[in-house]
Amino acid sequence: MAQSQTVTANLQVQNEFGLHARPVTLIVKLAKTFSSCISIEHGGTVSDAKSIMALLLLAADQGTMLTVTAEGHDAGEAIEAIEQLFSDKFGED
Amino acid sequence: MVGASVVSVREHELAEGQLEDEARRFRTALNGARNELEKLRDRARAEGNGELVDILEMQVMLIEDGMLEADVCQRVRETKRNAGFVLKTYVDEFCECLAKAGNSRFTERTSDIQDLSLRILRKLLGSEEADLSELPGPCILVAHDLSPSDTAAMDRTNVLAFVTSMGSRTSHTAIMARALGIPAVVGLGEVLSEVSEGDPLIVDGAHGKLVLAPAENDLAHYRERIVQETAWRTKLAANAMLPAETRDGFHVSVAANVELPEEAEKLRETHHVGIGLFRTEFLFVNGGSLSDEEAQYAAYRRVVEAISPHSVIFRTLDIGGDKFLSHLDVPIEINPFLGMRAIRFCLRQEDVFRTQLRAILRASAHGGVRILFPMITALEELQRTLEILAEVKADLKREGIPHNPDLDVGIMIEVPAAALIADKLAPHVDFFSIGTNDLVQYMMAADRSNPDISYLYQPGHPSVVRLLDRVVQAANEHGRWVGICGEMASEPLFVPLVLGLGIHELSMSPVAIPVVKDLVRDINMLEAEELVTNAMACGSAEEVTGLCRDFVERIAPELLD
Repeated sequence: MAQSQTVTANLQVQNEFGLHARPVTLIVKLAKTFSSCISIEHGGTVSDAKSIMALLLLAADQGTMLTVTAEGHDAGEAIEAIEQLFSDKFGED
Repeated sequence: MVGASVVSVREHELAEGQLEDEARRFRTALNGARNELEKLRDRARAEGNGELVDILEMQVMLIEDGMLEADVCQRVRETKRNAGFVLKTYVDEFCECLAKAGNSRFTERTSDIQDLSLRILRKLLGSEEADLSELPGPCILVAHDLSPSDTAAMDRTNVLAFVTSMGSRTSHTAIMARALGIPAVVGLGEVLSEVSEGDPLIVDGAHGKLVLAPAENDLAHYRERIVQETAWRTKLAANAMLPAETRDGFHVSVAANVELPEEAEKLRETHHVGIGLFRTEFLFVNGGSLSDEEAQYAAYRRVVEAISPHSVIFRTLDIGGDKFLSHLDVPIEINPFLGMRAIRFCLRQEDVFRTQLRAILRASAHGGVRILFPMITALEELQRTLEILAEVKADLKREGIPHNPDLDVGIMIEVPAAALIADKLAPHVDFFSIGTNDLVQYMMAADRSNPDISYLYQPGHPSVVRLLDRVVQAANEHGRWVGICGEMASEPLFVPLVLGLGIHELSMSPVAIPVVKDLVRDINMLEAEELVTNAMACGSAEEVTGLCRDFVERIAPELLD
């Protein structure tokens, strides 16, 4: 089993409408497939990536830089998957 | 609006000991809301409505992610406020935060979150009574359903009309509306999603119609109708004191169905009739205190004195079915109409029953009192009931408490089984009162409050006519009298049929009395008997109601408008 590790990435919100309900739902669904604790930070607010309400409160618009941190055995895979989701612009556009 | 798109939530403080219960209640509401959403989501998915699936999916996830639950429960504990209020404040704050982000996509989604919050609130309010006792001004009440306690507690001076999704003409909501003389349309299904708070509406109770967003010509038409109807009612009121006697001189006794002592007082002033059915359960609905003997005695005595020189028939507690009392321990059943209700409940909870019998018997010392037992199904039940009554009388006698030991005792005929052994029940009682609302629904196996099958609720079904005929024959053979206290007694269409069957006491909601009395005066008894003979030969409710319609059309066409 892989060792517990902490992985951090800075990601930019690229889709036009920012982290509104649909992208947030996708992030939460994805985050829940990993056992790692995943958090997303923006402007001093740290939100649990497995909570829709918390992510919505980040109110992250297009262009916002977010810090995503995963902590656990599958932290690497988690960050990779989330990066992919962000760069796919959540399937929008 | 009640249980509608606008839910007003009152803030109230909770005691330390209530906080955990409140948190539990909130979690139950969340679970209920989640179950509903999952069903809606699955349906949307089956219908291929992807956008709706996304929204519902998000709402389910909002509940599942635990933050809402944890935050609300924590705030309930910290602020000692009711969960409904806390949730509403919390969601409002949340949406304000999103709105501040200034991005239209965020503000759009706040409506989904508010919608979720409403769904949860409705679940919460299901167990937390909406407060209808203080309405801000004259209004039309739109609700999912109104319980008897809602209608009883309602601020009547301000309710112009009401409209509900559930219920039918004979459900207790509708009965209450008629008793109060309030126009109502019930059983409208998805009405709540069509109406918003503050919308102008026209409620046409006579035709069971609700007009949304009325146009100028609708308004003009209905204003004219109000004028005509007022004129007609004035004419009826002028004739109200004339006796209800058929053209060929048969006297019909018309009485009122009543549930509150205040109504009895009003009745004496306006109608000069007795009470053919006093529904005692409504005294219990409004507060626990009436379950004690003194309070009940005072209430019954007030009715007896108000209605004198006429008499009153008190029906013993009839709960269960669609009437529940939160403070009496009635278990939740899958099939309440076939369950522990009325006399079945009373024979099980003898202490409650004996208390009520004592109170009624004591009131009988002050005027004309008769007693009526609901839902008798088997002879053994009647025998046991009469034994208890005899024991209570003996107790009162021993204690030297005044009462009338010879008061008339009757039973409701509302279960087909009882109707079919009416000849065996008759020797034990003084009278029968036919409760057609339940009798018809039990005969037709159709829940009268379910709008989808209300077409099967057919008081004109030939089986009903035949059964009523049989009950009247059985009563006549034993020299007992028969009354009727269901809606059939006040439905102009069926009044000639009921009279022709030989039922000579009609008890109904007070507003119907002038109309029915007027109709009775136009009926020829011989013709009414002929109508029954013809109806007995029919094969369908449609044929029977057709005959009845022709009959009424001929003598009082204005009633069929």
